[in-house]
Amino acid sequence: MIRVILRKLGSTAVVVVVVAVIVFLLIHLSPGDPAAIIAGDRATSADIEHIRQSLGLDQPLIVQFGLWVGRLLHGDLGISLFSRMPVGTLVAARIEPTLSLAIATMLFAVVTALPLGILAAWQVGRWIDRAIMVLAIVAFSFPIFIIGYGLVWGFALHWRLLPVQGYASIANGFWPYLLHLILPAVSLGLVFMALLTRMTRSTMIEVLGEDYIRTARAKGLGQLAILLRHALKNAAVPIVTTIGSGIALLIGGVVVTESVFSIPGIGRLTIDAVTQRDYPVIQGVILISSFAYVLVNFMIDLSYRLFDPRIQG
Amino acid sequence: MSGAAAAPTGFAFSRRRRRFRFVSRHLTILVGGTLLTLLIALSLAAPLITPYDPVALDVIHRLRPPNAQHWFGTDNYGRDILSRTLYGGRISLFVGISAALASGLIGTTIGLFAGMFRWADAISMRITDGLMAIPSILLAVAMMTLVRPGVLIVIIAITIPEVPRVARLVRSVVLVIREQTYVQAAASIGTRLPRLLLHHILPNALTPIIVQATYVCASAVLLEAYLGFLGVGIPPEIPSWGNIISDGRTYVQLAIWIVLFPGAFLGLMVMSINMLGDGVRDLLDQRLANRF
Amino acid sequence: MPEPTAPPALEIDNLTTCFDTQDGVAVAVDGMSYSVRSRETVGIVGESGCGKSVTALSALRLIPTPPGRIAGGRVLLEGRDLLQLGEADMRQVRGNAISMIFQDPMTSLNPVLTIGQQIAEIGMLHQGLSRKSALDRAAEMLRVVHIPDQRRRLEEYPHQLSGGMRQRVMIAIALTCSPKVLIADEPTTALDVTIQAQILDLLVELQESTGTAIVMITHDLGVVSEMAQRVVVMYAGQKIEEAPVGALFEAPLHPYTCGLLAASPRFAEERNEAGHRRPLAEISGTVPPLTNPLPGCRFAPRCPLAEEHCRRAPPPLVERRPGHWAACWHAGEMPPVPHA
Repeated sequence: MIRVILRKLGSTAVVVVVVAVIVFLLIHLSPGDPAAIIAGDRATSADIEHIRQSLGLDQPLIVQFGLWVGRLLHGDLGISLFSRMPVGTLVAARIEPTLSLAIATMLFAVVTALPLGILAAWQVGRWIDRAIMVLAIVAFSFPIFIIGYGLVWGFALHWRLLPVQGYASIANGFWPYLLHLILPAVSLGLVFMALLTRMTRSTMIEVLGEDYIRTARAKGLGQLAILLRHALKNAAVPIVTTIGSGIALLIGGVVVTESVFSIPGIGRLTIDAVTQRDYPVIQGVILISSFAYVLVNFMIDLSYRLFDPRIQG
Repeated sequence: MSGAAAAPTGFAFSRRRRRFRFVSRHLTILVGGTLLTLLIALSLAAPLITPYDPVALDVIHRLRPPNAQHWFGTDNYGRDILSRTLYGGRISLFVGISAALASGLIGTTIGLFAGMFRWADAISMRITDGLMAIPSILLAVAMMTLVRPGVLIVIIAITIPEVPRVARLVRSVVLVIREQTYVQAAASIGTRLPRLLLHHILPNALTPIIVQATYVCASAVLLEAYLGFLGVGIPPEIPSWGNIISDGRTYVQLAIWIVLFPGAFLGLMVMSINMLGDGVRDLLDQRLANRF
Repeated sequence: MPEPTAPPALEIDNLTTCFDTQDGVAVAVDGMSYSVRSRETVGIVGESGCGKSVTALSALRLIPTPPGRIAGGRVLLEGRDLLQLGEADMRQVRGNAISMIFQDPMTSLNPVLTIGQQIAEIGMLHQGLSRKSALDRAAEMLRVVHIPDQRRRLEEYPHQLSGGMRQRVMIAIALTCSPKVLIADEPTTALDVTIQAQILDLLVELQESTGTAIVMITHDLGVVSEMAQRVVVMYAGQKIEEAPVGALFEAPLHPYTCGLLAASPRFAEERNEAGHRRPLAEISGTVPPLTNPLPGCRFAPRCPLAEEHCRRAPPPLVERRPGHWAACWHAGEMPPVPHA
C-alpha cells in the first residue's frame, strides 16, 4: 500500500516539475521583448530595464531557472510588480472567497448532476432523457457570464431575491454568506453540472447493460436497488475521474465568475494583474492552481480503491 | 403449431412513419446542423445585410433599447448592436475554425507519434499531463499578457491549451488501431511505416478526430469570448462577441440588450457546434453498433 | 424421476416474443410451448439465435420492452399466468419461485460487491431476513454447493474466485429461496470440461434434495444426454421436436435433429477401410433471418429431404410415437447415423 502511494507520488511529482518548467518557459517563449510589453507602451527604456531586472530576465536561462526553482521550494512565489508585495501574501489574503465559491460550486454541481445523470440513464431514449440532455448542452454552451448576467437580472434585479453581487464573509453571519454565494455558485456550477451529467449518464448506460444487472433483475430486485446499490458503485470510477479533471475548468471559471459578481477573490486578483500586466502575480496564480489540481487528482487516484476492489494501485 | 406471429403493422412501415423515425433518431445532428448553417450564413452575409457600419459611432442615439431603426438596440457609443453581433460572428467563426484546424493538425501529429513510438509516448504524455493541469483560461490569459494583441496571437493562445486533449485522444485511438489484425497483417508483409500510418491507421482514426475537432471549435469560440470579456482578447476596435459583451458590462442594469444579443448568438453558435459533434458521434456509434 | 401425475411446475403455452428492429419486426420466439414438472429436467437445445434464451427470459419477463414485446401466449406457474401479473408481483416471483442462472459467471456477478452481499440480499428481499440471518443463510447455501471455508468466502469478491466457484455461487444465489423452477441458461458453456461435470453433478444432487424443476438450456448435446429426462429441439424460434432423451438420441425424427447428432464428433468411432475417420457432417446454409419468416417449413432451405410442399406449407407438430413429437412432413425418413 505504501509502495503504491509512493509510486503515485512519484509520477505526480513529475507532472509538477513539467508544470513548473512550462510556466517558467512561458515568459521566454513570447515573440518580442516580454519586459517591454509588460512595461507598456508609455514606458521609458529605464522602466523597461527596471522590469527586466526585477523579473531576472537579464541573466542566463539556466541561472534564472535555478534561482526560480530555489525560491519556489522556499515558498517564494515572487513579488508583484504593481504592489511590491509577495505574491504568496496577496493570494493568501483572498483565499477565503475563492475557496468558498469553489466548494459551493462543487457541491451544487455534484448534488444536481448525479441524480440527473442516473435518471437520464434509467429512462434512456425517453423524453425525460432527451430533456436532460438538451438542458446539459445548453448549460455548457452558454458562457458563464451570460448565465451569470441572466441569473442576476432575474433573481437579483427583477425579483429581488438575491444580492446582485459581492461577497459576505462567513465571519459576518452565515445567512448573508450563503445568499451571496448562491448565484455565483450556480452560474459557475451549471457548466460543470452539464459535463458531469453527461458523463454520469453515459457511464450508467454502459453499466446498466452489463450481465450482473441482468442477474440483479432476475433476483427480483426493484429498480432503485439496482440503480443505487448495483450500478452506481460500478460507475463511480469514471464519474469521480471526471470530477477531478473538471477542477481545471472550475479554476478557470472562477476567474470569470469573480469578475461578473465582483467577488474579491483570487480570480479578481488575477484580472487586476492582467490589466496591469503584473506578470509575477499571474505566474504565481497559475502555479498555485496547477498544484491544487494535481493534488486533488492525486487524492482522487488514491480513492479508486474504495470503489473498485479489483484495483490494486 | 406456428403461433400468432405479430404481423408487422402497415403503420410501422408507412413512409411518414419512416421519415419520423429518421428525424427523431438524428434529431441532434439535424437541429445542430441547421442552426449552425443559419448562423454561419448570417455571419458571412453580414456585410450585405447589416444596416449600419459596426464601428460607426452615433452618440445621439446611444443606449437605445431595441426599436424599429435598431432591432437589437444601441450601445453606449450609439453603435448598432445587430450589426456588431453579426460581424462578431465572423470573428468568432474564424477564430474557432482556425483553432480547431490548428489544434487538430498539431494534436493529431503528436498523437500519431505517441501512439506508434514508445519514446515519443513517454515524453509527450508527461508534457500533456502538465499542460492539462493548467486551466485553459489562465494559460491563454498569461500568454496574452506577454504579447501585443492581435487576431493571430489570440488564435495561437487558444490553440495551445486545446492541443493536449486532441493528442491524447489520437494517441489512445492509435493504440487501439495498432492492435487490429488488419494493421498487423499489413505490417507483416513489410508495409513501410509512413504508408502504414497514412493508409491504414489514420483513415480509421479520422472520425473520432473530427468529433473531437468540433468540440474544440466550440471550446475555442467560448475561450475567445472569455478572453475578450476579461479584456485580453481581440483588439477592442474589432467587434468580436467577447469585446461587445465586455463593453456592455457596465450597462447590464440599464441596457441589458448590449450583452443579451451577442450572448444569445454566442450561446446558440456554441450549442449548435456541440450538437453537431454529438450527432456525428452518435452516428458513428450507430454505424459501429450496426456492424455487429 | 418426476412425479408422474403432478401438474407441471412451469408451463409455457404458445409463447410469442417479437423485437422491433430497424429492419422490421423480428419474431424471436414463435408459438413456443413446453412444460416441466417437479424433480424433472427438460433440456432445450438448438443453435445460437434459435430463441431458447429469449423464451426463458420472456417467461421471467426480463426482455427489455422498448425493442422487445411479448406478443401472445401464457406462462403458467402452478396454474397462474405470469404474463398477467403486475410488475411488483412479478418481482416477487423472480429469484423466489423461479430462479435463473446465466452463462458467464464472471460477468454475471457484480464485481464491486462481496459474495456475501450478493447472496444475502436475495434472502433479505424475499424472505424478510435480517442482515445477520441472511448472511447465516448465505453461509449455509455456500456449504450446500460444496464451497469450503464459507465465512471467509462471504467477505471475498468475485474476482478472487475461480470460474467453477463463481458458478457455484450463482447456483447458491438461485436456490436460496427454494424456487420451484430453476432455469439454467448455458451454465457450463464458459467452464472447463472437468468443472462442467462437477457443476452438472451438483445440479442433479440439488434437484434430488429440493425437488426443483430444471430447465437446462444448452447447445451441447452431451450435457442434455447427461441431465435431461426430456428434450425440446428449437429452430428459428419454433419447437421442431420433443422427445424423451433416450428416444431422441436413438431415433431422432426431424432432419435437423439428425443433423445436430451427426455433427457432434465422437471419440470411439471406427475408422473406415482407408483408415480415415468419418468426416464431420455439417448442416449447410445458415439460419434464416427472423424478420422475414418463410411461408413453409423454416428448415426447408437446408434440409436434404425438402420438397416443394415443404416450402409452401408449415408442418404441424405431430405426436409420431408416444411422447415423441416432430414438426416435419418427412419425419423419420433420414437415414440412421452411426453413433456411439
